[in-house]
Amino acid sequence: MIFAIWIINKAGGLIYQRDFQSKQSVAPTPSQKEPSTTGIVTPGLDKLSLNDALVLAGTFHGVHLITSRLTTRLISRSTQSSLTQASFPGIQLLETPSFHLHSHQSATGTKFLLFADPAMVAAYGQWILGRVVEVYCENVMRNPFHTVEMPIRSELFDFYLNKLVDQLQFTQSSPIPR
Amino acid sequence: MTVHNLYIFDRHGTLLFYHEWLRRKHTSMSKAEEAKLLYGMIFSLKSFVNKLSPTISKEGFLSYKTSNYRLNFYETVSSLKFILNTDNETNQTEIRELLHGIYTQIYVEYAVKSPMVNPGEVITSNLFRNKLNQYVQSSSIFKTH
Repeated sequence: MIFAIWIINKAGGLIYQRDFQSKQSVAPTPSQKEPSTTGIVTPGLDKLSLNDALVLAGTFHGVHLITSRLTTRLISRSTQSSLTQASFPGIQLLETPSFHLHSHQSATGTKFLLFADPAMVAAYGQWILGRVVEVYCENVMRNPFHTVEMPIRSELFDFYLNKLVDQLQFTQSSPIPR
Repeated sequence: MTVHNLYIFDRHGTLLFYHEWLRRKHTSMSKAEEAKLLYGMIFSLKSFVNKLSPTISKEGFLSYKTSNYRLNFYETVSSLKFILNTDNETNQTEIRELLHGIYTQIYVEYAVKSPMVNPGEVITSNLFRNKLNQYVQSSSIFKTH
């Protein structure tokens, strides 16, 4: 179950945000948050205002940078030369009881975030992010009217992303924009 | 399957205790600065997770993983924070148990109940350090390279 996909640019600004939860399963608005009494946590994400999302994206960008500096293992020279994930030593998976956040940083510094169900395996989350990067390259990077590092306003990108998520979870996500 | 190091912070953010078992790379900052940076980052992550979660549960953010290490976080009801860095292959449930064990069997027994240890001060007791070392090394997670 995919809850949301965010894309953060090099500078830490949120350039794309999309929610894939069906309306019935989304929790109440932030002003009505209740503490969980039974201890059973429902998986899902809270609804966020655009301003809150912008702030959180900036926070994540900073945390990603700090975590890459706090490493306790030596990075050998050989892994640094190839563009494997070891050469981007920032946070890749954040675990909480209600969601898991998978993150992938491209070679250009753009971060792709995937909010998913806690049951999703890390390798699958990274694979999905790889597919999102493909959709991004084909529809956003090759779009001559798109300014780099600016918010993404592309119908084609929305369409193909919807198609990808529908294929992956066979549930109704947001309708195709006209 | 190794444990790298352990930090213990109190509710105000003071570093009460630090111990390392296996750490190959040190940052260029002093230990106090590194502790403050770590505490600030954990605080930001906790509020990030709180904002996004649909219910306010006591167990917020649990752990995060990078390609080099995994950071595990355990917070008690009294806002005492345990941060344990391990490598990536360790089992999550074992780590939760280990952290819970460190709190109940080592911290409560040898730090809280000790008359020499005052709350809000750095724990210098050798007994605490030895017992902690013993406990971690005897658990199934710890293996030396």
